[in-house]
Amino acid sequence: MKTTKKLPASVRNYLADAYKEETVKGFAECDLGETGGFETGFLILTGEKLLYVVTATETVRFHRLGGNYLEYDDAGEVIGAKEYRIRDIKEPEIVPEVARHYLVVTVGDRKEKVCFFSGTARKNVYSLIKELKKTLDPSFDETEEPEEEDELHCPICGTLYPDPEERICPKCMKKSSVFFRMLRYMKPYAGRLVLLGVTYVVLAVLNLIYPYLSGTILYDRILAKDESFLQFIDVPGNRFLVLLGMTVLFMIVARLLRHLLNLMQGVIVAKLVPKVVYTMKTEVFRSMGKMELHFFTSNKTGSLMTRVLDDANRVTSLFIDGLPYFLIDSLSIIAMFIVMLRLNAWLALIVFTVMPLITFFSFRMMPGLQRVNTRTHQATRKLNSHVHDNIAGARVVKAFGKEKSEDRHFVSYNDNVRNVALEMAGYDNRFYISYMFFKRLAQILVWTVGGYFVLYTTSLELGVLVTFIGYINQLDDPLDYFSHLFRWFSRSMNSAERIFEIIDAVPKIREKADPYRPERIAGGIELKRVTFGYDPGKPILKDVSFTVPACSTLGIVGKSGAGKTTLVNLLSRLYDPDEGEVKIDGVNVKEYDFKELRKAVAMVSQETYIFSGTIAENIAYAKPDATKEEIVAAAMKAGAHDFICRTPDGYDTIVGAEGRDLSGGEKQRVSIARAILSDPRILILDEATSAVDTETELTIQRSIESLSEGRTTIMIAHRLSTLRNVDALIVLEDGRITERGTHEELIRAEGEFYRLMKMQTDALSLRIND
Amino acid sequence: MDDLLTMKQLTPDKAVFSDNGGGFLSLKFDGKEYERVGVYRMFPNTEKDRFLSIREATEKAPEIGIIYDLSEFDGNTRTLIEKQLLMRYFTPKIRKFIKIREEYGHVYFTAETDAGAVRFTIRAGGNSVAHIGGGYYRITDLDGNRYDVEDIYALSNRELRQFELYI
Repeated sequence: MKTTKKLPASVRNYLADAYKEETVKGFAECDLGETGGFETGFLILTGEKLLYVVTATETVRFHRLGGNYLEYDDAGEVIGAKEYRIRDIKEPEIVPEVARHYLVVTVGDRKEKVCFFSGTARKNVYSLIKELKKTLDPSFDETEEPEEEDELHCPICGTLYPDPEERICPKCMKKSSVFFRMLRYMKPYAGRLVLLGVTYVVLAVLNLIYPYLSGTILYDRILAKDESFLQFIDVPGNRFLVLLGMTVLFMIVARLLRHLLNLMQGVIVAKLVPKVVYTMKTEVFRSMGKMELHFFTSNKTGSLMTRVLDDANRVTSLFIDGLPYFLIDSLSIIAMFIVMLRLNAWLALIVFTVMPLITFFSFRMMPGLQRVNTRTHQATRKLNSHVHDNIAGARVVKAFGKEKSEDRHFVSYNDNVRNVALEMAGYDNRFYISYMFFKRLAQILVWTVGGYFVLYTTSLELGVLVTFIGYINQLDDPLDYFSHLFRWFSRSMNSAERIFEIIDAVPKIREKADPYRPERIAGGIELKRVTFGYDPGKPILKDVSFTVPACSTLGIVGKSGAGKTTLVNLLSRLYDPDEGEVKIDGVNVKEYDFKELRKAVAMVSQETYIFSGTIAENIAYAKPDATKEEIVAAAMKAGAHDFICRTPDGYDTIVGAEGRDLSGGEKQRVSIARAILSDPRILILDEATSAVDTETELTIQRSIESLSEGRTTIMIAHRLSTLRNVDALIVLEDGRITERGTHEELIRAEGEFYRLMKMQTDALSLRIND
Repeated sequence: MDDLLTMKQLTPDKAVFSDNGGGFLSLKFDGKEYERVGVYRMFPNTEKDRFLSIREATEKAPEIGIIYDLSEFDGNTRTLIEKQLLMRYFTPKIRKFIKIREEYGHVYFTAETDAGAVRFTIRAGGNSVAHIGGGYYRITDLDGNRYDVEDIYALSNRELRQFELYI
């Protein structure tokens, strides 16, 4: 959020008048009134007081385009103020509502709302409140490390990121800079690109010579039997015949050479493009791998796939296939202009007055074209996502009989794609037509004026006129090319932008520069006043603290959505807590080396994922160098060995997208084996046995018990009976810990755990009695 | 080796295999006699003679034990077990594709294998051809029969061009 470093003058004056002795320790802007819309207020903390000052300005603006930050130019006069003596207030607390948050303090024994603010202002108010809490209670335990200064500005140009979460600078994404950055990928192939360039130049020269040979030389010099030319080129024998032969031979050679060069270009381009595309795709894929889980859950799979797979191709083709032509064609046109000018200035002028018109039209159509391009991409992406969802979720679609409605959706997406494609074609045609129109116009004018010159003056010979027409025909390729280039360019730059969006995105969860790499992790876990939510202002976990001594077992119980899974996601740093700390062996997980941390923590969750490959490879995913004996032992412990052996291909069975489909329980057992083989210090079983039958569950349960020896285990379960042997239990309700203790203690306490336990046993006995 | 694995290990001194006369393999192990046992390869594609799971010949096929290395056993036992393996893992090796024809979503193969000429059908575009590694591919036809192509690069150009479409 953008903060004003200084209070506005009106507020400063007000403070100077009313609170002479006070020094401002900190302040935060508040942007909302209690029930109405925006208001500009300042929550000010001084040595003695907490003030809330409202000014008469409505200059608070939400900048949607440039990001959601507050900005005000100049606050107006102070129109209201509240003051609290710090020693009178207790328990300051920020209460989040859907779109309005407020600060509450306790004055005496009454709770009072102090000020209201949007989610945008929340962070600043929050830091001020932290400051206040420290004043109220010097022992207030703020998280130890200094809060990381969020990088909200682009490191290159200093522009504020539109979306601080994504950290993409729109300014640095300018098309031109994207263009030059793209060039970087071509650098390793500079040698071949130069060779490519040479072939283009030679080709351009040939293009220049050919019309001259077939026009001026052939008609005006040889066929017109120009003696001075004969003297100029001193050849023996039947001179004109020899000259004719030479010219024709030269023309044939020129044509052959042209084809040869075209071939060479094709070969070079075909070899270069895949290499550059390969580098680009690798980089995009790698950058994506660095992103935190949130990135993947908030982007559609289909659109991410387009980015990795298609965009690189599109961009590279422009650079290798398109740009050289652009340079050469521009050069050709200039060279032709010079030659034509020397041949006949009038005709040359006729041809080239048409050129600026073409440029003018291109530039006018450019913005519209770009808009259509963006829309094309969006429409395609939506369509792809939809298809992807349908294929991946085919089971659900069929189970609910939703084929028809999915079909309707598809048609509407497909309609969009068709419409933009048509629009695009329209633009294309307009380009093409205007180019062709101007070309023909030039041709007709040259014929008419040139014909007149040949017939009625001596200033133009027939050969020169033929040469001219030859040049105009030669303009065909460049003009045709230019008519496509604009569209091509804008489409490629769109793709390039998207590529850089991913490459430049800075992951929110980053490894420390000098990470902690312990020799051995014992596995003690401590959560200290952890608050976390996937969306700002909507915490899933609220002020959660607990410790799990190394090598002990903790059971977590709670209803769906109570935050159980979230809790364990914080342990392996799939997410970072908003407040508080997560420690392993007394060290904040933020200090740890990612690799060490994730090696130490293994998780088996409800969602299992099987990669394409053999079962053995899937089990050995976390430990690729595992021996076959280790793999088999892990599978046995996970109760997977028997079902694997019974398949025709045993451990060599290919599973995943292109192989055999495993059942839910089988997948779960394979992923348990995976976790077992990785031999983690901390094992998290998140409803790990929810998809297996009771018999298998017992097998797994037994092996988990033997497995938990010597490591820390966190078990999350719905079936409370599975938690009988844990060392300690916590009950989570609405993100808070409501009960904790051993199994017996909780039963004795007759609280929520007891109630749930009783419900499950009752349900079970009901079923048995039935 | 993990204790669990040692517990399951079948060694020549403890496990005695014999032919029951009816083409079945019998096993005496740990004081028990099994009239019929099955031999399963745990890694059929990567380990031919190691990691053999010996299971009872019942529907659930509970595991009796594991042979980690067949070469530890005497020649006679090896022959008995290899016979069982051959029986279970019958997979003709394709020497030559005589004809491959695709029509309406199915691909019809006529091929010469080490076990004789075969005709079989797979679904086009499905997962009928599995890549085992290198040039090694396995075709599973509509009826679940398996055919191995041990090295596609040993095929003729014409065969490779046709077969390539399905891998």
